[in-house]
Parts: sequence; structure tokens; C-alpha cells
Amino acid sequence: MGQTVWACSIAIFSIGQLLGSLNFITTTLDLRAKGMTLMRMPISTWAWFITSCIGLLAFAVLLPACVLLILDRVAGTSFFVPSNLVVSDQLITQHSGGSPLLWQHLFWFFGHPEVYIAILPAAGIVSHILITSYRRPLLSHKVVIYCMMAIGFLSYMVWGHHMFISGMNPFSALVFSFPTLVITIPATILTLIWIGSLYGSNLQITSASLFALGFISMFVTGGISGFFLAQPSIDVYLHGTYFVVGHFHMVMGVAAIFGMFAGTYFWAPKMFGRMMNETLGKIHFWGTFVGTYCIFMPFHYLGLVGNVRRYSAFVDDYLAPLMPVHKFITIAALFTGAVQLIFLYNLIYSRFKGEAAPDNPWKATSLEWTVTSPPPWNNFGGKHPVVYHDPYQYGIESSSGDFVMQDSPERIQTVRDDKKLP
Amino acid sequence: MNSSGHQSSLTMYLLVYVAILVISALQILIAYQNIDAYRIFIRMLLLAIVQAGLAVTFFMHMRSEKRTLALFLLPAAVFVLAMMNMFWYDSFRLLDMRPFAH
Amino acid sequence: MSEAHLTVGGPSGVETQEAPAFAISHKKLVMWLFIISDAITFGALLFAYGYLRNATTDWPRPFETSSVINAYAMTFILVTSSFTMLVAVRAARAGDKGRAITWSFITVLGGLIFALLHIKEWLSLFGEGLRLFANPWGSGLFGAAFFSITGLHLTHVVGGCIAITVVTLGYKRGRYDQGDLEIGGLYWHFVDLVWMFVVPFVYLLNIKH
Ligand code: HEM
Ligand SMILES: [Cu+2]
Repeated sequence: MGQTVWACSIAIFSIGQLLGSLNFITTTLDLRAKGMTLMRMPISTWAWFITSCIGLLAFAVLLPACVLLILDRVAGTSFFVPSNLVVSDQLITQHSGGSPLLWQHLFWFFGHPEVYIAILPAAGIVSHILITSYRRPLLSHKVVIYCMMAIGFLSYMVWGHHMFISGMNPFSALVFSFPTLVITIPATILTLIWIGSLYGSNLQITSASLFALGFISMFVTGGISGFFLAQPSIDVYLHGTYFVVGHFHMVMGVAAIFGMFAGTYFWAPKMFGRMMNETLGKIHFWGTFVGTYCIFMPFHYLGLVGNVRRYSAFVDDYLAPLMPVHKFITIAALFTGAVQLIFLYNLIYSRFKGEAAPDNPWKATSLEWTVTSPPPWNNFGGKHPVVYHDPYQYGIESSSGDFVMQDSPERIQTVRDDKKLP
Repeated sequence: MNSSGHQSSLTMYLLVYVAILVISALQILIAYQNIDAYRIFIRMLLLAIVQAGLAVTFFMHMRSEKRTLALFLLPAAVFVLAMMNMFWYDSFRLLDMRPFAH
Repeated sequence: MSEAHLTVGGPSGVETQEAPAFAISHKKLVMWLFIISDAITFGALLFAYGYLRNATTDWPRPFETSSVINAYAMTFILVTSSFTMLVAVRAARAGDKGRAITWSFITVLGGLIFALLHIKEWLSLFGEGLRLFANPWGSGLFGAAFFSITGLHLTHVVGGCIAITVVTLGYKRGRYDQGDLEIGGLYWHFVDLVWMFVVPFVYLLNIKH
């Protein structure tokens, strides 16, 4: 019963996601301010656009898969239930002939694109925030966008890496392993651009930029463990262990959430018209950063020594000696959970009692910072902004300081200082 | 807004309409031929793709839209559907591995 | 049109916005994107069906000649209704409102006849003993695949009939314009397109030999 409700909710969720993607793609393509060409869109918008494109195609597969699953559960069909299945010591007789592998294929066909649906918006937010806090553009705006597109494209070719030991044809394992390794290339380029752009930057340490940098750290850690998992020969051992759990909590869990935290600290002043407390924000960051590493790094170790996932207890078998590690993880988890209360307090307190936010507290260039905080009704108060520049005009001399807003008709005076920016 | 696409004449529509129906009839002829299932399937698939192509190009006016629209939409769908062909290896394998099949 | 608040010109009538990327209305773009995604949904279902069929030794092939004739009749009706929709959209473009409305309703009628033929087909199969997961001929998966694929298609047909009726009535009252009628037509042709794949794979590959 519970699982049927779950399947129904996932089906409804798919429909919601599909309609949301339609809305995002069309809005991005058809509703841009004058002068806002596609290449002048901020990377965060690009990331959402690419995410929506992935979602439009991926959720279209999850939807029928869920419908078939629901039919299996309530209407007595057997798309995914094989013959001679024994559950809780009982032979299942009313279902026969289905293929659990088919379910795995349909699910992971959606599932892998989904992990990029989870990470790309965060990557976009992080790129946007990093540029603002570096006070310089990234090494290449275009390459970041192309890499995200490449990740989106490749994400449809790799789903089988979740099925290496599902009984899938070993030939397919080979075929899936290769694009999985290839997908690390655009991911690595993204990371190198984020880190490489630190050179010659004028880094502003804020809660938002700390979380953005933390995102890079988590993304790299999770990406490296992904590298191991992508090889069928290693995955035969690691699949179904805590190594996988560590891997995806690093990327899908913590990295994506760091992106959300960074975005919250960055845009809360615009949303509520009040600054969030920076000191509390920094305490929150360091607590979360150290805490999550304390939780999820030991997961990799547990996985390597063979601790399987999805068990409720590890007390009286060969895993018993690992209990101290589990205890440590539990304590770290409780600590990290408690640190989130600081964030919650900060959010609620500053929502009502925080310092009033100026229109453009971070000296950022994109359009949302041209309006008051919080924005007027109708976002731009009935005015129509006109865009004159690329989104990231930082590290230059202008009347407003070291940046030029996108809607400022000012001509860019000086070419960027070549000595400062490689 | 939709200024393009006016050119498609009724005769053109009629021709496409007849072509689609003829292809459907052809499929039925093939279905009753005495060749192995795989060949029947391939022929059906090719004919269905031709039909779909006709429908998209003429009935859905892809012909008179901007080329970029087709380049944005169609490769995405074709690519995703093409990737699903990786399913087949396992569908046959299951048959071989089935414990009580033989 | 309802999107007026999104596309207003500035006070002097200057463009305030970038031109739409593909020079089509945003409603039409949404419909195209929906069609792409729906095509993948049907594709995934057909792949699942093919997969199970490959993996099943006792896959039945129950369709008699009468079923095939019925399927061709359904194809004929559906493609014809696509054609009448084209006539309706053409009339609407030419400003001939009355003709457009008549032909749209003929299209809906075609859709309804299709649905009736389909249900008749279902009932006769039911009479032969086909159930959702049981039949006298072989693997029960046949019924499951058959009913889920044709059922989803039938849902699309019925939905399309309702949608086109609503759009046509709105068009009559001036709430929708010819562009909206064309978008309804786009969807209708897509339903037709899906049927072009359902007939050969679900019917013709399963005929009695
Ligand atoms: C560098 C790129 C990456 C590679 C090479 C990679 C590779 C893999 C592999 C091979 C597995 C399967 C492990 C197994 O089940 O045995 C896996 C699992 C997983 N990955 Fe990644 N991954 C990468 C990035 C990501 C990202 C960015 C995310 C999410 C935002 C992610 C989320 C997941 C999740 C959720 C699972 C676990 C699925 C489960 O429950 O079994 N991965 N990854
Ligand atoms: Cu994956």
C-alpha cells in the first residue's frame, strides 16, 4: 500500500516536473529582456535551462515506468515481477513472466539524467556566486555553458553504470563504462575553471562564497569516488556498499545542498529585503563543512572494507568491529543536524529583524540587483530593462567601481588589466 | 506570428494523406508475408518512420518553420529513443538465462 | 490575446523584449516541447513492450483478419480526421470562421468514431477471453502490454477530442484565435503519428498465421 502511494506520487511528480520544464524552456527562449541574448544570460539561468531540457526528456521515461509499476501493484499485471519469485519464504504465484531488469533499465534511464538535474542548478548558482565574489569573470563563460550541455548530453548514455551487477549483459557494462568515464571530462573542466579563476581574483569571503567553494570541494570528492565506481571491475566489489552511499551523498546530497545554501545566503537579501547575519552564516558553513566530511568520508572507508548498504543493524556478524565508525558517524550526523538549527534561526531572525538590505549588497551585475530589495510587484515594477553587456563585467574600471551592471548603457572604458587577469 | 506555412496547398495535404494510407496498407501486406519476424519488424519500422516523417514535415508544418526549431527538437527525441536500444541485449539474454525455459 | 501583458510594447511602441527564439508563438513552442516529451513516453512504453516480447517464449499472436481490417479502418478514420483538421486550420487562417468551426467539429467526430471502434475492438477481444493479465492463448503479458499501450493512446484521443472541442468553442466566442486552433491541430496530428507506430507493432506483429 505505502509503496503504491509512493509510485503514484512519483507519477504525479513526473507530470509536475514535465510541465515545469515546459514552462522553464519556453520562458527562457521567449521571454528575455531586450538585449538579453542567449549568451548574455547568467550561468545560473543557463544551468536551469539545460536542467529543464534534461528533465523534459528524462521524466518522460519515468512516467510510463511508474504507470506500469502501479499496474503491477494494483491491477495484477506483471511487467516487472519475474516467475518463481520468493518473497518472505512465499512463492509468488499470481505474477509471472516480467523482468526486473526492465524496471532497472527504465528507472536508471531516468535516474542518471536525474542526478544531473539535481547538480546542475547548484553548479549554475555556484558559478554565478563565485564570479561575483572573485570580482573577475571565469576563465571562460562559454566553456562553462558548453560543459554543462555536454554533461546533459552524455547523461543519457551512462545509466547502465548503476546496473553493472544487475545481471545485465556484460557487453553492455563495457559500453556504459566508457561514456561514464568520458562524462568526468566536462565535469573536470568545470572544476578547473572554477578553481583556476581564483588566480588573479579578489576573493570576497562571505557565507555565500564559502558555501560555493565548499560545493567545489564536495563535487570533487564525490566525482573522484564516481571515477572508481565507473569501472565495472571495481564496481563489482563496491556496488551495494557504503562506498556508493558515500559517493552520492557527497555529490547529490551535500554538494547540491551547499548550492542551495549558497543561493539562499546570496539571494535572501533580494527576496526579503534583509541581510542575513554573516557571522552566524560562517559558523554554519564551517560546522556543516567539517560535519559532512566527518559523516561521509568514513562511508568510503566502510564501503572499502565491505560494509553493505540497506541493512538495519550490523551487530552480530563480521561487521560488528566497524561499530565504532558507525558511532562516530552518528555523532557527527547529530552535530551537523544541530548546526542546521543555526541556519534556521538565522533565516527566521534576519527575515524579520535583520539589517535592511541595500539594492545591490554584493555589487553584482545581473538584472535582479537593479531593482529594490525586495523587488517590486511585477519584478521590474512595470519597467522593461534593457541589457547592454555580458553578464560578468567585473575587474574593470567604471563609474560604479569594479563592475558594470548588465543594464547600464555605460561603455566599458578600460580593457581588462592583462597583468592581473591571465 | 504564424505567417509561414500558408503555402501548403490542399493538393499537397491530399497527396500526403493518400501516401500515409497507402503505407499503412503496405504494412498490412508485409505482415502477411512469409518472412521471419525480424525482417517484418524492420520493414514495419522503416515504413512507420517514413509515415511519421511525412506527418511531421507536412501535417505539422515542420517544413515551413525555422530550421532551428527542427534542429532543437527532433535530434533530442531521436537521440533519447536511440539510446534506449541498449535495452535489447538484456531482453534476449533473459530468455537464455531463464532457468526453466529449456 | 491572453499573453498581452507579456508582450506589451513600451510607451513609444519600441520592442521591449528579445524576439522569440524560433519565431513561433510561445504556446506553439510549449506544444512542440510537450509532443517531444510525449513521444518519448510512448517510445519508452513501446520499448518496454518489445523487451517483454523478446523475453517471453509463449507470446500469443491472436489477431484475426477482422481485427486487422478494424485496425485499418481506425487508421483511416484517424488520418482522415487529421486531414479535416488541416482543412479547419486553413479555413481559420483564411478568416473563414464558419468553415473552420464546421471542420473542427468534423475532426472531433472522427476522433469519437475512432474511440468507438477502439472500444468495440476491446470488447470483442474481451469476448474471446483476453483479460488484463490472462488470456487463453499464452503469456498474460500480452494483454498487459496491449491494454496499456492502446489505453494510453485512447486516453490521448479522448483528451484531444475534449481539447479541440473546447478550443473550437472558444474560437467561436473569440476567446481563442486561429493560432490556438493550429496548436490543437498539432497535438491531433501527433496522436495520429503515435497510432502509426502502434498499429504495426501492436497489431500487425501479432496476427494469427
Ligand atoms: C564524475 C562523475 C560521476 C561518475 C563517474 C559517477 C559514477 C557513478 C557510478 C558508477 C555509480 C554506481 C555505483 C553502484 O551502484 O555500484 C554511481 C552512483 C550514484 N551516483 Fe554517481 N557518478 C558521478 C557523478 C554523480 C553526480 C554529480 C551525482 C549527483 C548529483 C551522482 C549521484 C549518484 C547517485 C545518487 C548514485 C547512487 C544510486 C544508487 O542508489 O545506487 N553521481 N555514480
Ligand atoms: Cu549515474
